[in-house]
Amino acid sequence: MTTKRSWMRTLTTMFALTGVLAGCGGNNNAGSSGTAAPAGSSATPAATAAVVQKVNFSMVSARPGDEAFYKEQMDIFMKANPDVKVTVIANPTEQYNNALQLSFAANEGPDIFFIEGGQPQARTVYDNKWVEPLDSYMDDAFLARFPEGSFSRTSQTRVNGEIIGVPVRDPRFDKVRPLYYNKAILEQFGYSEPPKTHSGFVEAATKITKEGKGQVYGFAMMGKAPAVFGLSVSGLGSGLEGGVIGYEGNTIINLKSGQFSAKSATPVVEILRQLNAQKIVAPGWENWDTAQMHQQFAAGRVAMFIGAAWQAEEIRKLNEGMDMGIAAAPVPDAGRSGYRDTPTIAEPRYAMSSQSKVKEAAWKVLDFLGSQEFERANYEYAKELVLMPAAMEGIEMSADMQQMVKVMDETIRMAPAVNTNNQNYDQFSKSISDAMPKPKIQEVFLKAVMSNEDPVPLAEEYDAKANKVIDEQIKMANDGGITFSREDLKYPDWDPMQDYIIE
Amino acid sequence: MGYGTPQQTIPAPAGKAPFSRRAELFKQIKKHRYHYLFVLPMLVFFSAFTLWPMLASWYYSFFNWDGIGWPTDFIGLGNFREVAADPGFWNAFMNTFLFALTHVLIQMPLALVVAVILNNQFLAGRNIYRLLLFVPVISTTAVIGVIFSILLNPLGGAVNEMLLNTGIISEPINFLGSTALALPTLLAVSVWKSFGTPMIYWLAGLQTIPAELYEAAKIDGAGRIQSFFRITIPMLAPIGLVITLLTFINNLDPFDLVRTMTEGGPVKATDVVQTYIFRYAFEPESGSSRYGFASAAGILFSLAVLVVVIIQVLTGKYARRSGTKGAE
Repeated sequence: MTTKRSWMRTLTTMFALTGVLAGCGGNNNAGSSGTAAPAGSSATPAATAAVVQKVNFSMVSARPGDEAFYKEQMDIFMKANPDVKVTVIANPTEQYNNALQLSFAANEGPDIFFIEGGQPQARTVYDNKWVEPLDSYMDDAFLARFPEGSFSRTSQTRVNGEIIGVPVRDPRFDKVRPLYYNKAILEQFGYSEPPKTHSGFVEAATKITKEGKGQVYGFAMMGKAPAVFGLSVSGLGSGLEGGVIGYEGNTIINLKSGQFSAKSATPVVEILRQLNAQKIVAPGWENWDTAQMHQQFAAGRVAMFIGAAWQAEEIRKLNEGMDMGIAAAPVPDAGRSGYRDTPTIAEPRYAMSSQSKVKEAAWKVLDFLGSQEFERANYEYAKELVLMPAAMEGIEMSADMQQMVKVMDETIRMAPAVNTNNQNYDQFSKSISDAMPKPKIQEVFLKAVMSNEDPVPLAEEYDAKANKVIDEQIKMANDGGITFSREDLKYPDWDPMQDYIIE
Repeated sequence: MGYGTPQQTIPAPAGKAPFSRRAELFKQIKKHRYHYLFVLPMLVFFSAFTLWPMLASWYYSFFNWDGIGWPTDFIGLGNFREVAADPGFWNAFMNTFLFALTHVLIQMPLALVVAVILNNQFLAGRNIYRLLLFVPVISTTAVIGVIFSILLNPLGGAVNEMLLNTGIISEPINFLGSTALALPTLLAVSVWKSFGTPMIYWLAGLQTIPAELYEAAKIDGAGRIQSFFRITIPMLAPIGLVITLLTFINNLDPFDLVRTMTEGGPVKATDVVQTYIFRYAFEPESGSSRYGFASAAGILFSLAVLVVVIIQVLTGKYARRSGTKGAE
């Protein structure tokens, strides 16, 4: 009995060892760049016939279904391309860039990867030489799939003039700052449509708050953090004198003069200050974040607010049947003299690694990710607008989304980016941002509204300090060998009423 | 040999001392190997999750580092200088100390009074009161923060609705949105939330005072107030120093309450050092994280706390020494 057990143990151990050894010493070419079985190997004829190239695809898993969606899409791709085997590697958003950095540092970078983190990260992957320029891979047929300007010289798909990634989403969805309004409340107080001008907006908000007698308020803002308060400023300010970008950030540059110009936003800050001083704004807004705004708006206590596009869906979750309207934010009484700016209509999303040993196969995957078929699937899954309008045709779009698209078309135009003239700016833009006077300008504006202070002298004082910081940082950059001057921040020929595209 | 039994030290022969000492050390380690084994997990976790982050943050504080990859941009004391020059840091610093001081100066005396009342063995249902006062301590702070935010909301919040409906106020009170009221409101919630902790400490201290002392005082004609000031307070003084230190240190970290109720707003009126650090490390206004800067802020704050604690400990020692001399 004992002998029998001992034999069984020995056999089991041998099987296990065989498995382990096979796993360790198996196909040496089976890495990320694994290719065909070597010539002269003892592989079967069927195996040698199919040369399978292995592609690793590193992606960001921001939502629970993201990984499954990409795996499903890669399965579709692999059915059509049996010679490519794609392995999807999902990372949570917070860990993604660090994981990517470590993998490249270890020379084990993926063949295809997400560019996560907007323009700064696009610059990082380019400067670190992780990314393979795609210009030579993209033929006219590929480029023609995308809207005009997607790969223009001013598009963020290019860094230093080279295309670094394939876009998918319409970035205007993140940029638009619509006016949300409760149609029923507006009608109750005698307004058949939302206000279109600043004075009309102030009048409607005032009337609703005063006649609402504490039950309903004409307007509210989100003041818990300076950044969310910035949504109101950028929304109401999107029709202000053109040439100024960055109301929402902390680097407000007038691209006509190349100067920091917080003062340009003060007409809007002044409107908000007056509304708050006269107790027109819903009480407690100073401590509201987006969630509280959604609750109060969905509960019918607030008639109007200015927010971001994604908030429509959140409000619907709280009150699906509410009579919600979405419109362009009011513009100055004298009319629109500018737009909400976007420096690009396309952002690089999927990139190829410069370290990849299977670039042809990797390009096949990128070609698929840049196809109308994939964009359509992406739109159906994520409900985020994609770049190719044709990809969304035939798919039922919610009334809110349809309205949002109209507002995007009406209120957003392409503007130069701060770095369009000279992309060396990216090498020290973070230093400028970090060195900006504290408290940052958004906080200065929020405080001005809350404490009823005239924003103009505050902005002038801030502008003087901020411009000094920019000069110092440019000098430091120059001393460090970076070529850049104030002139590079100026775009005197740009017409803010037109799209700015340089092919 | 039992635990605690003094061991005889045998002098090592000249020239062989190091070897003998090492041999003795190994012998001791071997003898107590299970003790070391049981302590090992704690040491590993302490090193990984406490010691290493502490040391790493010292290292990071000398770099301009956004948290991606390994820090390479060495800037010396640049982060420390920037933190020290930022009025926002000192505002957060003052608010943090205000939190701790409020608990020491308001919560502790109140807790003592309540503890004395609850220590009365003739008080009916005193255990129920103790339990009710202690329940907030074991409740999740984040949940309490969210609930109070809803209750105190000027628009539809239960507290304002009640005050408005009863005619006590004519317009809602902006508890958390006003720069004047937000911090006092947070302090009040925090004092209520952690009230049970010093109360339990005081109760423990009160139960160490021999009942005979009160009986003797009563025979001598002392009233309740006299007994309180002449017996209770002096007898509680030694433990009172410890409670003061614990209360002070425990309340130097009001992150979860501030984060859930105001996020440091409005316009930084309730900002504390922890929310300040969090903002620079994880929710940067500039768009990219500043781990080096946040680490420098954390280190400056911990050094300040260290100084305060040293002062507190030295004061305690001095007080005890003075008390002993007085007794002599």
